[in-house]
Amino acid sequence: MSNGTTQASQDMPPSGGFKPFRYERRLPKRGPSGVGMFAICGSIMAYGWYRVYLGLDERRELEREKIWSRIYLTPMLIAEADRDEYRRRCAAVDREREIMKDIPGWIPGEGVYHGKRYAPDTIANVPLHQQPGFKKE
Amino acid sequence: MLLSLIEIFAVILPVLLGIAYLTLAERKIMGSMQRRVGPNHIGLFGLLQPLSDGIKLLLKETIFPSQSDKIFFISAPLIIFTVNLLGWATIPFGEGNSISDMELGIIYLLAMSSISVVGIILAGWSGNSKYSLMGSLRTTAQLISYELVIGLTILTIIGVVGSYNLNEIILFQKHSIIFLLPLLPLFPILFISALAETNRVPFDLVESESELVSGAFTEYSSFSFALIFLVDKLEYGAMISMCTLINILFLGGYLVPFSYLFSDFLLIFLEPLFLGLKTCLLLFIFIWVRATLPRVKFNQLINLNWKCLLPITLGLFMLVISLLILIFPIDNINIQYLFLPFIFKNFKINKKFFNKFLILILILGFLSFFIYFIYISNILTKNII
Repeated sequence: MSNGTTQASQDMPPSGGFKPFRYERRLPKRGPSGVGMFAICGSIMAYGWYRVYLGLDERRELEREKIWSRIYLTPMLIAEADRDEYRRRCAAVDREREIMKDIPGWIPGEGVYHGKRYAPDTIANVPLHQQPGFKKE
Repeated sequence: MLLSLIEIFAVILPVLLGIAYLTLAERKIMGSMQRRVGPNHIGLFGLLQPLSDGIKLLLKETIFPSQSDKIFFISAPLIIFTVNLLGWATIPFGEGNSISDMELGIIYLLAMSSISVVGIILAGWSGNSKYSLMGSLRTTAQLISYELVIGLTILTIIGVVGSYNLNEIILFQKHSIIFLLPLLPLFPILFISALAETNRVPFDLVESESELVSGAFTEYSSFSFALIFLVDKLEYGAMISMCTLINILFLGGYLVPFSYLFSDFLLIFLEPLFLGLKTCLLLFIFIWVRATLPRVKFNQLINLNWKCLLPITLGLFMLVISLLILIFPIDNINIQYLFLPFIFKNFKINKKFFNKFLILILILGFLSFFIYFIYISNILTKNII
């Protein structure tokens, strides 16, 4: 067009077109690069997860300790309960003997079952004045 | 009975006072950031400004729109106000120092923050104004979409701790480390979601101060406006409770750094103080963001949630669960609780949108299953107890 014989009546672009020009803004690169930030973030998280691992380990160890301490304590607690039950039963039989002394043929502490096998009381032998809710008349 | 009443008042009164003075703090901080003085006429350094604002609002006439539903119109601000304060029941102020140490405390908190959406819908609808109705619908869309991200973030932390109890979460951080470090990318995600959940700048499209005249609450005046203003309009109450929640989840709540230096008696007083200090730091960042950023467009708001935050959070959730299975046996991860809601749910997902992060989830899911098999082979050779 520009090298045509007729004179151009219109402003035309230069031959070969305009030079490419910059239309996007150029911001200065600041701060760490993407890889750098990823690495920093990753290392912080790695340390954090190491501590979380230690915490979870500690918690599991405490749980294990609790379970084993209960396993070891159980026989002692059962023995204690048995001793207490036996003491209460003896006291109850003594009380029964004292109350029913005037009735001939009464055997204190006799089981309600037909047989000699020991059957523990289903309800704890607690005297009336020690029971909760007892009121003196 | 009386003691528990005193307990409740000892929590609620400082919270209300804090909400009132947060308005003043915001105006002062924004003033200094914008080279202004801020309120300084009423009282020393403007300290009585919140009181004077409150009295001014109380003395005004309450106007009911003639066609409005009076009962809902009155009850909506009360619902919002009450529900926001109810959330404080489970917040621990020290070790074993909370009104109710619930086992499902965090679920309770989420439920309470969801119920306040009902109040907003009621407030927008009952005024019988189409503008406030549209405002309430936009608020609801925003709150519900961002609650998803908050829920997922919290679910990730629950996966690590294995408990829904807020106290347990804090104590776990005491025994290991504050969750800001291991879950570093989740902290800004939760913070951005909290900004959107509380309708703060740059996500305050539902209110847009001058253009929309506070969105869903256009018809309110006087005392009911004061209630909304305190708790919901600029979300001061929700801001404080949200910052406390972020604090508990990521910054260790009431934990005192170098606590072995102090005696136990001193720690009783230091623990609530540090809870407040950390919360104040987060609140300052909230205000800082407001003074800095311009408002986003509505499509940007929704895109940010559904195309950016949610896929990242889902990916991180899978990663965290995979890591937990990698480093530790399954008895400490309550996976059955985590996946229960997903099994019984009908998924209806847009295909285009789904394809974008399907690959990510599949890769991470495959990774987690692979690690799970390693764990199974591990557990066969290892005696746990």
